Amino acid sequence: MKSIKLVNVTKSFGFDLILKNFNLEIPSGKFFALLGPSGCGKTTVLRMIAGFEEPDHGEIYLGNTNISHLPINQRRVNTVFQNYALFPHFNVFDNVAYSLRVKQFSQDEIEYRVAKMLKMFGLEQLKYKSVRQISGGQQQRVAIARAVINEPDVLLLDEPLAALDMRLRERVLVELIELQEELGMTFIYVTHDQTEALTVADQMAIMGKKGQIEQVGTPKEVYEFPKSTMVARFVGSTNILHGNLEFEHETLYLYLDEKNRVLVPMVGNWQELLKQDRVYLSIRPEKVELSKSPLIGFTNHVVGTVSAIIYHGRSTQYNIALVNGTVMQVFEQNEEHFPKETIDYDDVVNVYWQTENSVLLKS
Amino acid sequence: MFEEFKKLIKSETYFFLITPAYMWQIMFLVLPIVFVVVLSLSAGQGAHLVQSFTLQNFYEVFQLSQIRIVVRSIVLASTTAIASLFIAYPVAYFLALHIKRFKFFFLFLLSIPFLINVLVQVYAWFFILEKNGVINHVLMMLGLVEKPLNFLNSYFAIYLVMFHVYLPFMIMPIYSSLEKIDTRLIEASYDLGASFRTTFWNIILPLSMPGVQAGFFLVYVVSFGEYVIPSLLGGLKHFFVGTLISEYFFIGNDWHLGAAFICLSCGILFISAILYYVFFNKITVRSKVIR
Amino acid sequence: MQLRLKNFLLPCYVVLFCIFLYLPIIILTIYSFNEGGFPAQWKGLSLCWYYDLFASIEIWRVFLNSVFVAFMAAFLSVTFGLMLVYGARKFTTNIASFFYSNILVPDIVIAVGTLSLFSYFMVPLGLITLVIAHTLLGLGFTIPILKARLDELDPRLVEASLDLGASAWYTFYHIVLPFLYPAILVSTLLVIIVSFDDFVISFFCAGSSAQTLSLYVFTMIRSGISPTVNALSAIMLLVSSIFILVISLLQVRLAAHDESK
Repeated sequence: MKSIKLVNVTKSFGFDLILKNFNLEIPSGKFFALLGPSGCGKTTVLRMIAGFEEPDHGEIYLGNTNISHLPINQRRVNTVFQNYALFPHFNVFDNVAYSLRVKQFSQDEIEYRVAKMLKMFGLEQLKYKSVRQISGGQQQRVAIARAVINEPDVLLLDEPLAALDMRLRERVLVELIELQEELGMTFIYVTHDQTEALTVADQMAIMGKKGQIEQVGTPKEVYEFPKSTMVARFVGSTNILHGNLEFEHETLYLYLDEKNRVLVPMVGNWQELLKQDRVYLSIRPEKVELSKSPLIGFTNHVVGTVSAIIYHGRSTQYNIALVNGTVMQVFEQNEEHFPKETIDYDDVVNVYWQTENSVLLKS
Repeated sequence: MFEEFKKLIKSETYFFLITPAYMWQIMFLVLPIVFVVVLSLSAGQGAHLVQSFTLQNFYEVFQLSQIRIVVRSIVLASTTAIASLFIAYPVAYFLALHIKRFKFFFLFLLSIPFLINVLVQVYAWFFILEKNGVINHVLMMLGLVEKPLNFLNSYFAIYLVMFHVYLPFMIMPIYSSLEKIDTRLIEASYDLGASFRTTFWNIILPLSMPGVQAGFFLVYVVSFGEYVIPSLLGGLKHFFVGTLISEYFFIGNDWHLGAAFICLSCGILFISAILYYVFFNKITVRSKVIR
Repeated sequence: MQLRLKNFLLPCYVVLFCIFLYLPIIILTIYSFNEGGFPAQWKGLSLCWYYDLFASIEIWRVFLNSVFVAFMAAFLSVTFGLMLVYGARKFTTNIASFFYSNILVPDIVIAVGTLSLFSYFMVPLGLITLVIAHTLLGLGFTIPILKARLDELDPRLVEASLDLGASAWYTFYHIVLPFLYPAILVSTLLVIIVSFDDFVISFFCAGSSAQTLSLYVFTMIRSGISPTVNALSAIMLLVSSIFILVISLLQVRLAAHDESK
């Protein structure tokens, strides 16, 4: 299994500059997710790795080999397309066997390998069915089987769940994780859905709208310690407070305005951030506690009024309007083990969180 | 270096693929047309067909008698196009918007006349219109006339058969563009309270205009140069552009004049086509709702 | 659907229209079975004119000429058209629109131009020159049809094939060609019909040696009604209908395939 490395890649389409001096390292043998909003260039990155596009400048390495300008059919990289791109005039067997036929394997060898692959994906019954007659989920498995049978060094998946319905998506995600573990192949998964990325990835990279890498890390790192407000907002939902950073009496404060301030963790490059006019603080909604009556043990406390209550089944979201106008989102899990106080519209509530659960951000 | 060489080969493949068709087009369409223009501007005989440059041919051709023939063809083409437009539109409309189940059958039915040999069609009409033909036979049987009427060799015959032959040409384009109209647009119009008339004039007709234009110009341009029908049904009495050209080339054997005449008639055709085009644009640009 | 007069008007109109369209042909076909020579006298059903038709060596010769020209023109125009359409598929400018003029330019201009060109360069007129001219006509049909079909091909399929290791030629042969197959068939049949039907270009460009079916019918018509020509017309009608039936079926199959995707 091989790693992928993009070095100073620049790519434009006509007058659109998609990527500029783009660098990314994808470790071998891992399930890697490339996450970003629509139009950020993540699909372009994938297509360049596959060979459908070539970089204007820069190099792409597969392991130690420079594959930047290698023709598509010579790269040991295979793609699972978003709309599967199954050959409509072939049946399931022929689709999966395609790459073997190209390499001119013997008929026996082909039969053996295809049978093995079909069994792995639970598609034996559909062996001779036309690909137009099978369901979306089955089509996807055929697409994956067709790519994997080739034993590529890297498997690319372009928003594979986009065409499936909700129920199926969750199941397929789990199947993909199991598949990757079983094969040990490097998987590169491109998506705009952060839940998918968080679920499957061993490592992930977030791309911003202008084609830049915002952050690379494990899902937990990216979620708990985002490096920018873009990442904080894109991966999961969050509350962003902003204000002026002040260091007083050995403690770091964020002044939301003249009167209101909150405590901020003294980690990372806080000393540099003191120089900035404006600094941001990210607090995840589930890390915030609401209570009408006062609670002890929390290091941060503000007061606000309930402006909205949204029921999400497993949790309830409360929008709290703070004194200075900022609205905070709070998720409370509806575990209802013991009777709790009821919180209603326009109630005045106490909002608590622990300082170490908030993240100081530069931008 | 090897990479660049390979890139060159790749583009060579494209070059190789595209060339034959283009070469063919240039050699056998563009060149002949250019040659016709050259001919019209030159004089000479036999082996030295293009010997000298002259505008004499155009002077000779730009006479009332010739222009009258061109105008006659324009009238024929216009009438054919306009008449078949009005006659064919309801049929195309019916097929596109009213028939759900037997579309295939009707399309098939309407395609056949389209692709039958023109000669066969003309011959069929001969059959009907001739002195000993069906109509005369029926008329005499019913006692309406005593001597067989002469329908052939008349404007009537020419117009009738032109009309008959070109109708299918008009149906197809109109049908395709009507078919492409999103039925939800029509439903929206009714939903908003419009009557059929309003919906037709404001939604359906404008949206079908591309097909109407395509059909009109197809019929107009092609029927302008029609040779077979005027030749067989008009005889030597009534000349049109097509028959006159044939006359120049085969009987008169003056190719230069013939070429000049072609240039003249094509020029007039082109101008008239532009006028029609402008007219079409004028009537499709409306901002008020027609009741 | 209420039974009002309004609702009957349009269908009646369409029926009348169809009758008008088909009347001459139907009468012709019926009379091709007439024993008597002249249409006025209905003598009884007979296939005698058909026997005459099939027995006529001259007609067979002329027919074979037409077949030769038609098939050659179809082969050439489909091949060249395919090459052009596939070669130009990645071009952003629409190369194919150049070829629409083949149908728009009046037959007679093409005919005269080709005639003069060939004569000037002393190219002998005959079946070959006819093939050349008909191929030109054919390109005007095959290129739009093939291009329309090729545009429907999901480019991801070509990418997937390459991704799985296939060469460009393998991809073309196994993936693209099967997809284009119905369009290739339709354009072939269409060019054959157009070639058979063509009169004007044959009239000008075939010279004195080559006779095609259309030219033969023309000379026969010039000399008055002939019952053999009746039979011939009826047969041409039948063959055209069969061709069109096949074409229509293919187009239906094309449409059905696309819907089920």
